[in-house]
Amino acid sequence: MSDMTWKDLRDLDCEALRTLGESWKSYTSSVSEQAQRLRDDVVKGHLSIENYESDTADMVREQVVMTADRFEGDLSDYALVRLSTGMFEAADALEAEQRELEELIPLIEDRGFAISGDPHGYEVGLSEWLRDAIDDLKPPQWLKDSTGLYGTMDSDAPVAANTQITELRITADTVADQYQDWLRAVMSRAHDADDDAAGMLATMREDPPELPPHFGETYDDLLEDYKEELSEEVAEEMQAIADGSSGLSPEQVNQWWEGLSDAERDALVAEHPEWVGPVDGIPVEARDTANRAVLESDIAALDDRIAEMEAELSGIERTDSVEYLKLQEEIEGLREEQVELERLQDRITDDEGNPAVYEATGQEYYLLDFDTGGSGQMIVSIGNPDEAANVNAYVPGTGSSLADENGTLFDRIQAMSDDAQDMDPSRETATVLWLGYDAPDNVVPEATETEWAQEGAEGLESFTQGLRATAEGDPANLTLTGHSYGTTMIGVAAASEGVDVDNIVFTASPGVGVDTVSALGVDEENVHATRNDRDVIQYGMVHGTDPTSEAFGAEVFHSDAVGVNPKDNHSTYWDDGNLAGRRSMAKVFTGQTGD
Amino acid sequence: MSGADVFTMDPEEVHNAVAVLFEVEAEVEGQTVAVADATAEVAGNLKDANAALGAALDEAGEWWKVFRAGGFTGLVGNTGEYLATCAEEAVEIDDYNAGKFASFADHDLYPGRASENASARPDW
Repeated sequence: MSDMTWKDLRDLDCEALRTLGESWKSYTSSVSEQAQRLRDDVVKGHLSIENYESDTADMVREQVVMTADRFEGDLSDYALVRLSTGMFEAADALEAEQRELEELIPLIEDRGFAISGDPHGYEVGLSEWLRDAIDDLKPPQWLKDSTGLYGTMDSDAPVAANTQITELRITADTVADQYQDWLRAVMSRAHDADDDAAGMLATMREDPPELPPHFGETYDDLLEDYKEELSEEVAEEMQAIADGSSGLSPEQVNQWWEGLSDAERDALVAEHPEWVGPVDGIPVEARDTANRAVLESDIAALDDRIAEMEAELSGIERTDSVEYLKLQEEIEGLREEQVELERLQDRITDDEGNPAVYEATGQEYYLLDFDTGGSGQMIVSIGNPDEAANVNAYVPGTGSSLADENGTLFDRIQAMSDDAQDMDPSRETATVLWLGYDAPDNVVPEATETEWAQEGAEGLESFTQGLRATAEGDPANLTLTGHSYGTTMIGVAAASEGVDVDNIVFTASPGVGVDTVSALGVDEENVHATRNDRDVIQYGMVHGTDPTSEAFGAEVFHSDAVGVNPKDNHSTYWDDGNLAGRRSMAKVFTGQTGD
Repeated sequence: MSGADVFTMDPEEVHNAVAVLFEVEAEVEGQTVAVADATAEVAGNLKDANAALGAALDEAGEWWKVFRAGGFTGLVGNTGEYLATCAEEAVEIDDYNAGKFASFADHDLYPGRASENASARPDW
């Protein structure tokens, strides 16, 4: 487990890590040439059939080729994907947090704050010097500026002095809290990157593929075992990636996927779509094909299961028995699940069974993942995020589910897709519905807890990294747009795990889990927030500082209220009555905030 | 396949193949030691910084050197020694053991692969 202190992180030589990544990369390339020599100089050269011909000679040639193949596979899987790319990724992630520290630590030290506690939960408080300065009514200039208390402070007037001291103390404590959130977020992301890299390297030693056998008395038997194992190797690697036991990052998954032959990739999609579909780092086209196949098969499986259970039900004589009622309830649950899946299928499929096209923008729907567990999850995109110049991923909030009975979630991504196209018809924007977490079902008590966001954080981090890994051409302008609890989801993920995006948009937020924009690890000027003035959420800031407040520090834009109902106004951000807010959002999605 | 009754071998070419195999073995060993040493050094600094990556990197570098690159060079060496033995005395694969290389190979052709090294092998 990572136990880096902030000083350890600050002083870490990330360049050495990057240089090591380069060394493994050059090593891979250089020793691959040696493997190639075995094929060219040995098998095709000195040991060619003209020079050496017999059954034994065939076996020797086969052995040499197998040895070279195995080594090249190892070089790709271990030396390149894990050791080289892993070191580059770790260096990039840790260096990003070092840059945050370079900004933050001087602020903490120069302003008279002190860091204490454990590296997994640092506390930032007032130093003795700052406490004394406040008590003596001789605060530093920055604190005077923050409180607006200018001029001479009067320590001889006890009542006024106490008021001033209280105000100074509150302001200083607020700033300390913000720095604490910021420092904790930096350390959380750094520890996460460190632990991820360490975990990825540790898993490479678990259950590696066998090497070809050595020549000797057991060669024939061992060779047979080796060949059998070899034929299942790619599927086993895919399974380990899908169940998370490989420890590979989305970038590494992508490198692995690109290293497969077309036939291997096609076979995985056809034979194991349930492994291919949900994995970040596999290109969207392949995921879509795989997920649609799984969706089709899940619906059919539910049909069979329901028919089976109905037959069982008809065999129970007493319709008021516990057994009968329980079975009836189970059937109802399965029917409901089937309806939800069929609804999803209908929305993304046309009458001919092909991927549906969203007519207003002419973009196809892509299914990146779905799951019926909990409230149900789905990741659906209008337009292919791998090909689009802009990608906007919408993260919905409380009450969102796979069911989406009224089509609200789809309506919203369609509205955002329309807006992006209107704003910039020359460059494609893919609009993703990211319901990749189990959203709270109700406002109280579920949405007052951060556990839903904490559980989804790793998934959102991985999703953004996956989009970066599979993007074709230049990196897209990538935005996360949260609504309500979806903003908490984004904030918690950004602060604890990190999200690899260019922009964040918070709409109708109940707080994002941190008190300052600086803790999110995204350029502060690219974090935007909005809330209409009638939205009921302004009275329910349960997850920290309001991101539309000046203290939080985001770029705030206006949204119009629609009607007068505070509850309704929590959900009007994509209505036609809020064209101003929608236009501001579209500017962010399309990278035109500077215009 | 060549067929059960066919057997031709140009011993000189087989010896040349062995020479390439031993060169590849030595080259990969050398480069692997270099990258593993560099890895151990960076891993040491990471361990000093309380980074979890330090120990993991150290173990990964060593594992690669011993088991995967080491496994490869072991295979290449084994094939070379088998072929060298084969060139001297046409043994079958299943009859081969490393002792035969030590006994039959022409060590003038393979300096540095003395029988005392071969005898240290597990299947001696």
